[in-house]
Amino acid sequence: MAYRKSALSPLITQTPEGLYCPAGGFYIDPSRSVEIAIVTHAHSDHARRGSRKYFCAASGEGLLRERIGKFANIEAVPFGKKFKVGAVGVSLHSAGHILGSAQVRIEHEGRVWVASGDYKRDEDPTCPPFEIVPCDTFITEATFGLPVYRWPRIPEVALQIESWWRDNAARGMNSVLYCYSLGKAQRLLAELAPRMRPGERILVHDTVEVLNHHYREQGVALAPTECVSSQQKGVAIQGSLILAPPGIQGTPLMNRLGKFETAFASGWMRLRRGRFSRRYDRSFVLSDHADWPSLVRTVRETGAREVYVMHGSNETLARYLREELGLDAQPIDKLGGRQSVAGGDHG
Amino acid sequence: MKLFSQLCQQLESVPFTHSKAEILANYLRATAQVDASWALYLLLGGQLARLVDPATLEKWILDETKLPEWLWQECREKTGDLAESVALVAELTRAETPTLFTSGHESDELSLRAWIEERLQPIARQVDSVRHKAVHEWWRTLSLDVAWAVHALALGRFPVHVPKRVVDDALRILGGEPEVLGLTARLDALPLAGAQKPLSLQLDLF
Repeated sequence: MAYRKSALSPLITQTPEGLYCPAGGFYIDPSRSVEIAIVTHAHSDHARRGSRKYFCAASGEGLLRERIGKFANIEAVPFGKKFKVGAVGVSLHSAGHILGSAQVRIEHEGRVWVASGDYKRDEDPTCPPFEIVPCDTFITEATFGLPVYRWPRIPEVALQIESWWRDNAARGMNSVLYCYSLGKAQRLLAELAPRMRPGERILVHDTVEVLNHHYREQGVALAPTECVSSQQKGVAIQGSLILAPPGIQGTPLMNRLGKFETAFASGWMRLRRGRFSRRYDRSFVLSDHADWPSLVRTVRETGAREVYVMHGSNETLARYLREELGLDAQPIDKLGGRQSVAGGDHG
Repeated sequence: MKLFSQLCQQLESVPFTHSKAEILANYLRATAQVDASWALYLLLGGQLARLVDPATLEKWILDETKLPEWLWQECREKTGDLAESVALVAELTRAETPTLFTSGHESDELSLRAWIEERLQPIARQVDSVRHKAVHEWWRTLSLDVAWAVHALALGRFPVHVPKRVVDDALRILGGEPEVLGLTARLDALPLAGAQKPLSLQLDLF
C-alpha cells in the first residue's frame, strides 16, 4: 500500500471524550453520551450509557445491552460488513479481546484508518481471533507495551489453575479465583471446560453468571457453573473453585466459603512487583491484551506506515516503532483534534 | 530449583508472618535436606560468591536481545530488579513461547543444591568466556521462574529473605522431626545478611 503521509486532516482525531471521526460524525468508545458512538467492546471503560445511537459487532450486542441498557438504540453489525456513517465507510473486524470485541476500520477518499480497540493475538475459545486489517494508519492499544510482558502458553496456565484447585480440594479447602466478570471469567471457564470431571461445576458470582448467559447464547462452550448465592444455606461449600470479581473481598459472601485460598489472574502478575502489592495466595499470568511481541508483530502486519499508540505505554511503544521499525509512530496525544490538549488542531 | 523458586514466589506474595512460616514448613517437609539447608541459608540472608557483575550481565543481555539501551532501562525500572529483568527479556530471544512449568531441559529440573554446588560455584572464578557461555545457556534453556532465581544467585544478590523468627516458627510447625530440628543448631552458627561466603562452605548438616 503506498504510504501517504497525512498532510490532510486526520480521519480520526483525539478529543477529551475519546476518538472522533469528523467526516463520519461519530465517536469511538466515548467517555460520555454523544450523538453516534461506535463501541469496540462492552467493558465499562469503553461502553457508556446515554448516546443517541450505537454501533457494535453483532456478537457483542447482548453484552453491550447488559452494560448500557436493554433499550439502547444499537445497530449490531456482523464482522466485515461495510456500512456508512456520515461520509465514511465503516466496518468492524474481530479484535480477539473478549466476545464481540471489534476493531473499527474507516475508509474515506482512498485512505484507510483502523482503530484496534483492546486486542490480543493469543488463541481464545471465547471469541474469533484478531483479524489483520491492512491500513494506512493504525491506532493501537499498548496496555502491556514493554518487553518484559510475554505471555505463557494458555494450556499450561489452565493446568496450573486446575492443579491449584484440586490440591486445595484435597486439603479440604475452597479456591477463590478473582478475575474481572466480563471476558476474563468466561475465558477461564472456557479453558477449564475440557478439564471438568462428570458432575462437576464451578461456582461463580452472580455478575459472572449473567454474562455467561450471553457467551453460551453465542455458542461458546463454558464449564458448567452455579451461582454461589444459590448454594443451599447451611450446607458447607467444599473443594470448589469459585470465580468472583475482586470487589467482593471482605463481603458477607466470603463467609459462606469456609477455609479458602485466593488467587488473581492477570497479565500484571508476570512481574514480582505486580504480585507484591496484592494479598493473594497465588497468581496466574492470563491476559486479554496483546503482549509486547504481539503488539510489535501486529503493527508490522497491518502494513500501516503511520501509527498512534494509546491506552498504556504510549511513548515507549511509539518510540520503539519509530526508531527500530522506521514507522511514523506517535503517542495518541500527538493526534490533533478538537480541544486537544497536546499537538496542533488539524481540524 | 523449581520448588525453591515457587517457595520464593509464595513468600513474596503473602504479607503475614504466620502464613510465611506455614509456607516454609510445607517446603521443608517436601524437600531434601541438602536443598533445605541451602534454602534456609539464602532466606536468612546468605549469598553466594558473585559469578557475574551487574554491568557485565547487562552488556551480555543487550548484545543478545539487541534491545536499545533506553528500552532496556525502562524494563529495569519497571521491575526494579536486574535478575528479573534479564530473565524476562531473555525470553524474547526464544522463537517459541517458553513454557511455564519446565523447559523440558534437564537444567530446569536440577535441585537447588546441584545448581549451587555443581553449576554456579565451580564457575564463579572461571574466565569470562566460560561464564558467558553458561549464562547464555540459561537463556536458552530455563523456564522463567528458575531463570530469575539462578540470575539472582549468580549476581550474589538473592533478594528473598525471611526473619529468623519465621524459620523458627516453621521448624516449630514441623516439630518433632529430628532431621529438621537438627538444622537449628547449625543455623545459629551461620553468619547472616550479605557476607560473601567462601566457596568451600559446606552445609553438610547431618
